[in-house]
Amino acid sequence: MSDSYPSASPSPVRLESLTVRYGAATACRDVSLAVPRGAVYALLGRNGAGKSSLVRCLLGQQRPSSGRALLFGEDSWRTRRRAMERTGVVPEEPDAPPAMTARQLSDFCRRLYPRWDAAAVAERLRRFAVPEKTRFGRLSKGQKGEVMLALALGHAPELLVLDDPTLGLDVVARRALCEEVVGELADRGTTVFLTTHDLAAFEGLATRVGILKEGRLAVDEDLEALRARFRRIRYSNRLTESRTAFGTELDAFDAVRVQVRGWGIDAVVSNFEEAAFERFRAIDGVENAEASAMPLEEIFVAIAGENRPKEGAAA
Amino acid sequence: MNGFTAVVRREIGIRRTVFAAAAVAGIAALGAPLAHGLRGPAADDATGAVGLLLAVAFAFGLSIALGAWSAASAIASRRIAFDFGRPLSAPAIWGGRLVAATVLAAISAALALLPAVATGGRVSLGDLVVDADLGRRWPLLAVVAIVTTFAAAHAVSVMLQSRSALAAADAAFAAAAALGFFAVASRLPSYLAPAPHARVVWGFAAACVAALLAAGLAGTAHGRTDIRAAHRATSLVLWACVGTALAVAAGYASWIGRASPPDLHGFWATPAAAGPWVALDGQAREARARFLYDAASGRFVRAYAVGPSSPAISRDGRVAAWVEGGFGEDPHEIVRLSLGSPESVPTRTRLFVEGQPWLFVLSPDGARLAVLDANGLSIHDLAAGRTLVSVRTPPADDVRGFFVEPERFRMYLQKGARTSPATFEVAEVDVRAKRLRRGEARELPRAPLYLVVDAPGERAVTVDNPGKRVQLLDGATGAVRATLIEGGSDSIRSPGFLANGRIVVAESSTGGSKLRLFDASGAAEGELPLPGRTLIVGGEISPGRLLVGVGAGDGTSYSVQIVDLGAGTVRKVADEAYPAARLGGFGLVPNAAPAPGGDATRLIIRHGNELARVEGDGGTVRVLLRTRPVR
Repeated sequence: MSDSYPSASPSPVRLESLTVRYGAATACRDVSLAVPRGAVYALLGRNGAGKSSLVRCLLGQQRPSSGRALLFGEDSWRTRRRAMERTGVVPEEPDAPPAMTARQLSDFCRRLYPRWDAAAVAERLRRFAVPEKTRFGRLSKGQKGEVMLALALGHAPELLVLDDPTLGLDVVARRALCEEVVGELADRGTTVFLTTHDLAAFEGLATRVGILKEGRLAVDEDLEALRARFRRIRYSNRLTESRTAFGTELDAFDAVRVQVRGWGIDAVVSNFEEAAFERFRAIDGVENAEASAMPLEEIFVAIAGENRPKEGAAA
Repeated sequence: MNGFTAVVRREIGIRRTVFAAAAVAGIAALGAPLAHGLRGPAADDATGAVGLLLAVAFAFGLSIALGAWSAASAIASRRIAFDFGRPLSAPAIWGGRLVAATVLAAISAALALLPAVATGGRVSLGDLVVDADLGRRWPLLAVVAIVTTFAAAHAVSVMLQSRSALAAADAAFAAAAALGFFAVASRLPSYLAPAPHARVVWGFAAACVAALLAAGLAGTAHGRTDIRAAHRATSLVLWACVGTALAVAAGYASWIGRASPPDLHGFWATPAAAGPWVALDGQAREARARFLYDAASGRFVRAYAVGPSSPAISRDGRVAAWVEGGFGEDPHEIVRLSLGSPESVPTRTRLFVEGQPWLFVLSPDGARLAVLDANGLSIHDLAAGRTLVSVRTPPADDVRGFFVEPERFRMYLQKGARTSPATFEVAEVDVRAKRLRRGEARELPRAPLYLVVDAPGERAVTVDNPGKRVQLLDGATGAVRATLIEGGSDSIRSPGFLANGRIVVAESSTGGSKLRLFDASGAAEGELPLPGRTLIVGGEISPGRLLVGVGAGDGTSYSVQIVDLGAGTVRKVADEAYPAARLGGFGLVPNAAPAPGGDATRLIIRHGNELARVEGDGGTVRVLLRTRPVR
């Protein structure tokens, strides 16, 4: 990843060679990224890829083994309290005290944030249909997530960090959450940093994507650019007089996955270009070739879902 | 501060039901005496006791529960991320929980106790604390105890919940700290150094409380949502603080223990009958300090002796012995020191005494030691570390004793000394036969026993100051040989034997003082008037010449004079001084007079803080040891 981040206006989120280890195990290794102001950054990764460790480091809740996490240009481990005044957090596991009601939680937060908007929190909870006087521990998982989101947005944060916020939510709750985030984005231009498994829910929101694979940041780029360079290429392959072996026709592409199907070859490439594709189609023996755009979920699966070396194109 | 108060309010708010539970429990406890059919004062006592028990249970139960679960479990389960995800400082998160727990525990305890107090239950909160002074400060103590319990429960909970091998190291550190503390405290026994001992105990306790609080804060601040990191930070700070406190305590104890004779603030000196050794007794660095001091070379050995007496020194001046206590507990062990060798160090004998010994007497050569304690009289072979004989002694109010010879230990026993008539008896322990031989009981004297025996034990002089009578007795049987003084003025009389067998009795009163001389059979030879109103007769520096302290009668201001009994002359040697030795000996050993012409006869104590030697014929005084001024 590039280290040349702009320094005049610090990114709300920036990781510098961040590594987190637990004994001999490494959760994430040498991760560097920066999230521009106003961006929606979706950090993707399979279970155990190190997303939550990375978020805890980012929020100053856990000390990285090496490297730094910066919020608003300052080391989040050292200046966590100041950074939290400008940050809203929705954790993976709703962690509010279970004995407190949503209203009590709002009252508690009101004493911590000078800009706390209790009315907005109450309105948001009403919109979510979360009972204000029910103890947090007795709320459903979705309601807990909605309370956490309402609390995270109660002080109009400049940065919203969501750690797998849709985990365990039903479709309605998930949509409400996404709409709320969209609403916040529209209203304030809040920077959002989220980790998720739910690629479909956030595909329309994310402007930039990072993919963690085995603790390393395999991808970190704008979503549109990512979509543009990833294509699924399907074709059939046959030997001719001038072509006596398979396996070289995709050499012009960076094929991240190649699978042999009954009808032919199904490949995913990460550096798709129209000109290169036209040359590919012209190869003797390559027939019925077609390239299709991929949804984020498929790109993710292609990058993070395959641990083995790519298969050869041999039939 | 907003964050801190917000956490305190939140933590109290979500647990406020304990107040109701405490109040209900307190009211329910009022029924306990009725259920057992108690009435009147017994019911009041029972009500108070039950209320107190409930209060203690609420205070410490809540402290432990909240310490273990409120903060530690929040870290272990990462629920504390809710606080760390907000603009709350670590001190606010930790301190808020601590203060809230203290408030919850203290108010709950008060609510549990209130019904008992309100209905007349007798509650003595000070009884919970052994020390009366501390008992009066029970509210402060209760708060400190709650805070400490919370912090300790939190630390232990973090250590256990991290499921780290570091917990084993914590256990080892805790054991080492406990052992280290007892090792340090035992170097400052409370019976010898009460102020330093208390300072170390309370200082270390305060340091441990501070260490627990700092460790809790460090674990929260550096662990945050990582229980293992919290454990590491907790352990590091806790054991670093405890270790530092222990090192400071050890350094302090070492400093107290390294006191040397010049550190004494004045002293009481007991010179050996022969040789240059002197037992010094005083206060050094706020501790009772006893030294065996070689007045010739300046060498010294500290003796951690128990009890009111200085270490015993054999008549030949070559062996010293005393008893040392283990942290003030019985039994005490006998310690022996050979004074002849410069390299020798005190050695434990594996011989023990019960309680404070009444008699502790070395044989003239130091090979044997007679100890009279609660179990009777025992005679030990010091070098071999074995007991030669133990006998039950007759009941007595006063006992004096000495070795007539290595196989015979003689005791002078007086019963009913403070009532009339008193009985007086001479008894001897035969070491070889392992038996006690009792003599005839006699009516002598009525006053508390004060007697001086000549070196071979053949003659004894008893003094009955209230009865104005001084008598010469047979040393072996106690039979009266002669009455030296009968009647006269209300004088204080102290006798002694001279090298040639003559007897000298110092007599002092408000009217003046004098030395009265008698021959070996007790016949009067004459008297020598002296200036001053009090006399301290020291040793015989040469035949017929005594070092005498002459006092003005105020009990403090003495001058040392050399009295030539033959020539009848008196010459002042030093002001503000008195002889270190006594012609009649010290303490309960009646034949411990300084050897005529020996080192001890020339030693004087000047200004209360100088040990000095009268040189030659008294023309010069050489200071051997100067200590700090007397306080």
